[in-house]
Amino acid sequence: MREFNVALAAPEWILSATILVVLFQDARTRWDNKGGLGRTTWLGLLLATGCAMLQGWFVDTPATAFLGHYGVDGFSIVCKAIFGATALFVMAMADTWLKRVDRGHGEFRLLALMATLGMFFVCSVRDFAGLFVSLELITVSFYCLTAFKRNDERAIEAGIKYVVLGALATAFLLLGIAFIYGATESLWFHKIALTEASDGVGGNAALLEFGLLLTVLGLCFKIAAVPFQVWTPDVYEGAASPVTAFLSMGSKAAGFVLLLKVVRACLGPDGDAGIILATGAWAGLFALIAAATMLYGNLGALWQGNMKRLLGYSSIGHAGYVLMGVLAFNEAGFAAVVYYLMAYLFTVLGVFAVVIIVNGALRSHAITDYAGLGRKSPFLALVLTCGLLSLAGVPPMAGFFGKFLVFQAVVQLGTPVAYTVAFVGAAGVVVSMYYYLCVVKQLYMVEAPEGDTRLDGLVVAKPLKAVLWVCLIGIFVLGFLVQPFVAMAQDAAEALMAAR
Amino acid sequence: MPDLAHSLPAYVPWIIFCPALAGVIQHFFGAKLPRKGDLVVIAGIGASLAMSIALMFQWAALPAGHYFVEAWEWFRLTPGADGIAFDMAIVVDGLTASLLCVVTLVATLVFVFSTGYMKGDPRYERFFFWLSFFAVAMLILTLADNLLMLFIGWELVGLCSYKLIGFWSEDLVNAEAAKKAFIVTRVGDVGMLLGMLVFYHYCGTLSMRGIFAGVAAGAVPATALTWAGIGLFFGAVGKSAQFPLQIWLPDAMAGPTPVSALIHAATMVAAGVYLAARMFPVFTPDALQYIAWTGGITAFLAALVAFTQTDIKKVLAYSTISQLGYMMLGVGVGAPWAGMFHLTTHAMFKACLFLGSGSVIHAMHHAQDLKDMGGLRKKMPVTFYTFVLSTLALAGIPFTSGFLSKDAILIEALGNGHIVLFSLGLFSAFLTAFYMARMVWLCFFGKPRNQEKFDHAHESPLSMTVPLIILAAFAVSFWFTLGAGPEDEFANQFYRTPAYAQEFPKTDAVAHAYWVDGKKPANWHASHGPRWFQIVAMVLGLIGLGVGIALFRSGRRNQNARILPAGVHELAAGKYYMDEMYLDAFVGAANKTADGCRWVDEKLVDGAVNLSGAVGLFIGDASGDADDLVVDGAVNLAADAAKGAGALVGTAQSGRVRNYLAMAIGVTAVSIIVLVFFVIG
Repeated sequence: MREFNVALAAPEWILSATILVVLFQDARTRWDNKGGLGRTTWLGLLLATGCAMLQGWFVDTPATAFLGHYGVDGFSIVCKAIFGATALFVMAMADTWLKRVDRGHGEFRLLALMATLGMFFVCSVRDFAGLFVSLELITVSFYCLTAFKRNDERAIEAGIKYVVLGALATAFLLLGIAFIYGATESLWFHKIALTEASDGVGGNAALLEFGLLLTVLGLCFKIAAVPFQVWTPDVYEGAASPVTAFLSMGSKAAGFVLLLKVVRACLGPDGDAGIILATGAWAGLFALIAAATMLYGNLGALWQGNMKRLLGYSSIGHAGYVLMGVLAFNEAGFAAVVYYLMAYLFTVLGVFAVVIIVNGALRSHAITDYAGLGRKSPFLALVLTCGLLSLAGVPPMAGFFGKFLVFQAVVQLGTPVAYTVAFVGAAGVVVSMYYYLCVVKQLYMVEAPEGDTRLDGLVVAKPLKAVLWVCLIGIFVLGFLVQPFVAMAQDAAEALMAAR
Repeated sequence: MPDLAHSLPAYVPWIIFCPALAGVIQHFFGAKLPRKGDLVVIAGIGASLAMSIALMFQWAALPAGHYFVEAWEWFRLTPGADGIAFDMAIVVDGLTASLLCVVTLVATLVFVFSTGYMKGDPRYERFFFWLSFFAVAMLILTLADNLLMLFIGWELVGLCSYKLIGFWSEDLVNAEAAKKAFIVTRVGDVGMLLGMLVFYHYCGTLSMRGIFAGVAAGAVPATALTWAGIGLFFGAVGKSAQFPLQIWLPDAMAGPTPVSALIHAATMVAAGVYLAARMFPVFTPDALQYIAWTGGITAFLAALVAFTQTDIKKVLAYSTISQLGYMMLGVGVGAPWAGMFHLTTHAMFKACLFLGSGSVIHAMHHAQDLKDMGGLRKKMPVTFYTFVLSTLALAGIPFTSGFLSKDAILIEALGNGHIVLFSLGLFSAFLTAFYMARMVWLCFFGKPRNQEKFDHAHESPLSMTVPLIILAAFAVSFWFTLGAGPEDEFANQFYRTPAYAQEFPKTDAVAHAYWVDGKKPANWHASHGPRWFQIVAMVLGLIGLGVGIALFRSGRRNQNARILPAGVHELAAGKYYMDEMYLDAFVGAANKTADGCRWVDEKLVDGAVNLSGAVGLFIGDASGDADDLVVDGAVNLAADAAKGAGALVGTAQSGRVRNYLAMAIGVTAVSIIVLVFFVIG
């Protein structure tokens, strides 16, 4: 009973404290004086993220707290750094965006912080109960965030769609967890491998596999993968842009972190394919999901005229690429997933930062309205172009390297299934080139209509400008000076494999 | 085996850095510099040229088969215990040294030419920035000793090509052409990437040395090797506009003419041939067959289309496709050295032709159609003579560089028993001479067809004619036979003993022994010795020229005259309808799928949401009654209780939900903290 080790959860404590402070601060301040909330949020996020990263040096990993339900290892630290950075970037976007909104500043920050707290917990959970609670903390926060513009029909519609489909996915997830509990008589992740190893599966194998199937499908909702991908374009379009940015990076990454944990739990103790995953059917299932997701996302994006819908479809496509890393079921694949998420962080948030700035001036997300941005605001156009090319996987940008690692992990398997999914992914890369270039064409090769001065003299707030620079630099560093980040991703994957 | 590798001279990385530095300066200060910074960019590439020439001589001083190589660790993947290192590596052998000189020389001349051609363009400085960027990317590609690094250069040249084709973006057609070029070449790149990954899978590395070692040691199964080779070659198919991906290159002529000369004639499109020649040891006989037939078919089909074109640049574009096919044919029949030789000579004379056409277009105030030209030889003598000399080289007339290299490819095709491909090549050579004669005649001879434009035409300034003269000088065979004996062609010294060829000889049943030590293989029949066909080729070339001139000289045929038989003409003029086929097959399919996605979006999702809404309403109605009784009752009870207590805690009731929430959560949180820290912890 002495294993509570509460100090280990310091990043989460800090975030929880920040949430409370923001809550009280919001209640105590007038509606037109909410600047203090922003400062508190920034401070809390910075402290929590810094604290999470410092644990990498000062905590003897792997360590557990709360009777083993909460763990800190190399994997969780890297993931928390990703989520912390995401939240900080999103907060910078929200600062700009909230200026255009005259109410609800406190609620917005509160909900975003709660979602971040959920993401931090996701990194550290070690059982299915923790998985479910932390995931719901994220999801429920996002339900509210999605419908945050409550006077906007589209936002309300998006919110309802997200809730209804999310509820369905949650039901799947919960049922899956129940089946797994039935098979392993436990909620611990590591009990799955133990049950497999001790031949406990025997009669329960079907039960366990069915449970896993439902769980994986439930998680597909978070990562926006087939069959739970349909909400993505609508919700992306309807939600406020910072929320969309947060969804596309934070929420998706949380889903992948949990998916990796569940997949890891099914692997054998030495990292071999275990009993369940070795059957080949699971690799086939993941390959099927990945291929369908890539095709759906990339083909759906082709004729989109709305920037946020386009990014929604593109985000589905990218979920497919990350899934390719998962389906390798080995350390190289998991490292590729972590690297892809890091690359995606800089890439997609850079793109969204530009989208928010441009939308502030345009009040429109039509791609044709981006015409002439290259002439009027070269820096914004540069960031957007680099971001889109990185998404398309053009070297030497981050996206290319993420794709390279994912592809090499899959091709390394050498099975027909692996080659097939790699081929589909490669074809998707070509298709994606088309729609990303359509946007780039608007930026540089189409002039703004005569007399359209909406994009003239765009002013970018300082924090957002910092985000743009960080993203731009990140895109090139993760595409070229890759060694430290590859090492980081590999350490994370190694820690994940070593987790018990 | 003696150690053949030498460490790299220290200045070699600067061949890349110099234009890169110039590009950076140009990007940030270009508009403020005198002459808008073009001199900086030219100085950058000029320095690269000087270093490339020095490097070539330094390499030539090494014994045959020796090379320079240097690697810097880039990153390390550790799926296993030891890990796999990826290097930034540079290798310099004959292939690299010659391509370096070609790229830097043509680039320097094109840059100088551009100062005249682009004069007065509103985005002059931006143009030079992209040219410099292109040079950097192309040099990375050339020097790379690692497929990953090569691929980065490979994609970057594509990006520059995209930006430069669409440089005059006022016309949306240019933007579309740029996009088409980028996407079609990327179709090929996908094959290349997959091929690379297969090699990585079996050899555990992407360094060329490692791959050659793995292949020589039999690490890659035969079938996989064939497919990986074809995949890799598919990248070259896209980049070098080979059948069936040749459709982008004619459209790419939308870019400014210096760009067409540099990127779409001399260097970038030739990168595919370079890749195929450099990776030659990994191609199995089957893969080589595929390469040879791709090259032969492309050479023939593109030559036919050239007859139907009246745009001066389009004729040259199809000619380029056709000549690239020739080079691939050379690689495919087992003589990469011949392909590389043709690459070198072609780069010079085709760049000269393109710049010459640029000079004409400049003089004609951006008219490109042959129907507006005619009689220009008196107005533009320098352009005319350089153009004719390069045309002779392209037609393969003796004493020109093209004669040597085309001859080399044909003799290899015949010598290795590819009779059909040899005939195809020979016939294409005839067609080439024919359509070039037609073009030269329509452009420079006869009466002016557009008197107004003709009257305004004038010879171009020195900045444009001097590059033409230099390039035309290289169309003479003299330079390429320097120091060569009868059995020992000049190209032999450069291309037949590339890096790693001796350490990891190709061991296929098909004896490609050339690759190993530059000697003719034993089974190369003596019957091919008397080069009877050289006479045939020469005669065919002359007949082609003669027929071309004769047909148009009499004036009975105008520029639109159909030379080909009716059916063939229709087919060739429609570019074999491949654009339409692709449009139907791929774009149509993608369209349908996208429609499907939209349907799922609109019908399925909305349907599901509405259904759940209806269900919710139904349940809501049913539970409404229960709600009134039970829940409201409880709430009212609580409210009454609260009212009673209200007097006590009145100050805490602000009437705002969030305050209540804050209170509730705060109290709970504090309780939890207390519990955790003091009771359990």
